[in-house]
Amino acid sequence: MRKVTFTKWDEAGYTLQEDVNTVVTNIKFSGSDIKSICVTSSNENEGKSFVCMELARAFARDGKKVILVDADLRKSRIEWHYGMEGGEGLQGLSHYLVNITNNLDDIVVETNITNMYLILAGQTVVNPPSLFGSQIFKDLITQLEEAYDLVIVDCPPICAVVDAAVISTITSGTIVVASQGGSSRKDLRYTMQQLDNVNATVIGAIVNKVRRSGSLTGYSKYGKYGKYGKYGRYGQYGQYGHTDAPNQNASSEADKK
Amino acid sequence: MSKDRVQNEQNDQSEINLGDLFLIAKKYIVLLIAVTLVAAVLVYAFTALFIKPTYSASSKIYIVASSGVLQISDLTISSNVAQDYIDLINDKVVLQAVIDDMNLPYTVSQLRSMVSATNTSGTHMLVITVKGHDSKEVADIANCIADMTINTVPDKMQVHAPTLISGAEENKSKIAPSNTRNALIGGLIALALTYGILVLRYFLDDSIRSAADVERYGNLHILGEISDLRETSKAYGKYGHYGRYGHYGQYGHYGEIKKESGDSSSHQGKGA
Repeated sequence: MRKVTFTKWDEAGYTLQEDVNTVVTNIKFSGSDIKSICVTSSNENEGKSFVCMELARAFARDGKKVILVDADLRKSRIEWHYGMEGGEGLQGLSHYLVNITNNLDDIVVETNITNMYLILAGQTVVNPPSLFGSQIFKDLITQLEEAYDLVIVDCPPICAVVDAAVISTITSGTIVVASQGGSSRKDLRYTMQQLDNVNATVIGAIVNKVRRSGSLTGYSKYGKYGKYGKYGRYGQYGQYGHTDAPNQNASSEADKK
Repeated sequence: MSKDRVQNEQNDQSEINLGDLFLIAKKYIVLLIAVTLVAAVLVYAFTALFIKPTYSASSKIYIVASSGVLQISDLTISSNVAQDYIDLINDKVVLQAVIDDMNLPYTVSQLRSMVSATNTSGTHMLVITVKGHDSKEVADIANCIADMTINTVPDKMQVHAPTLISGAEENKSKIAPSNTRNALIGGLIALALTYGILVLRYFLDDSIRSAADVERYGNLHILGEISDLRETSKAYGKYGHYGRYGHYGQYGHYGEIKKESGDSSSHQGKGA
């Protein structure tokens, strides 16, 4: 298996790590049978790819064998955003789906992040939805689900193209990324309608680019200390939360790790 | 699930949250105060510099009894009689005479608009008030009108002439405009307009502003929030490594704008 190195990807800052960890925990609590996740958003630039990468990294750090599949065949940004060394001549998802290659080893690469694997998008393709509806793709996902602990599929935005809706019927769960100010209520409703129409299993939403100064109150129910946040009443360590607070019960901390 | 969404669609059209109105004011308080102050200062300056001050002066005359002998009926002067005098003062007869005498550059109607004669009921006093842009001139006019009235009454109304109680004195302090009052009004109007615009903008804004919005309008369970990196990490700040003007940012060295990279195939080309 080939290996690539991300050249422009620094260690996540403390806040980001905390935020992502919260998401990871909530995903875990959504169901243990989630082996593949379709990640989409309403519009472009909501930070979907960013979220996918960070989630993959976080799960990988957790000891899970994760594979990130870049399914944005029309506009893939991973290489450009994160910089890649060792990816010359590498084939991607599109090559596999049109049968230029049918060898998984040709497209799956190891990365410099332990436990994190990657399938690039490959050459830009004109009509992806039909490719994603094909048996080749379904089989691919099934194979990946068997070989890896978690498959994260980075899909295009739903308001732009319908690819993600198709993909969401194949993965065991779907996550919608919504960024503050990145989409309108109408867009979000449209997105959910599309997902509803195909009966996708939507695990939930990740809200990205949250600025405290942007909101009116600067304080969110889901923020760290808000009602549902990590330390809030119903949050992970809260009174009614999932686990006991760290200083009260050291063993559950160890279990979590 | 889709039924809930239809419900929400109808809801968000009609909801105006009073709490939000307060929060908008709170959030933009600095802007609102600044706008008010700036407007007030501008209006004050404009008023002080460009608006001509108005001055006022008054003379007072006494309406004398109808004949030399005091009669009971004279003791209570009806308002009609005072009105006669007021009409006379406003009449062309008096005003033209004043214009001619003082060589004023006004027409009768212009002068009439500057003059007001009043009588407090129950008294025999007639107060002649003149308003204009020249403090000396208005005093002179008030005195002239008083004189002319005194001279005209016996002839035209066949009664004793009124007597002058007090002549008008020049009063150099203006009665209008009030710089502070105008400034206050200007400030308040600016405040109201600005706040109105802010509120309108907020309610017309259809974008998702928070996790609560996502939950509500998307009917979605929130898995978590990821803070905007520009707020939490210097590297993503405007000039940071990944920021707008930074090394990898939009305008930076490897940036989107600088590099012609709209076509992702230029990257994937290697894959062929």
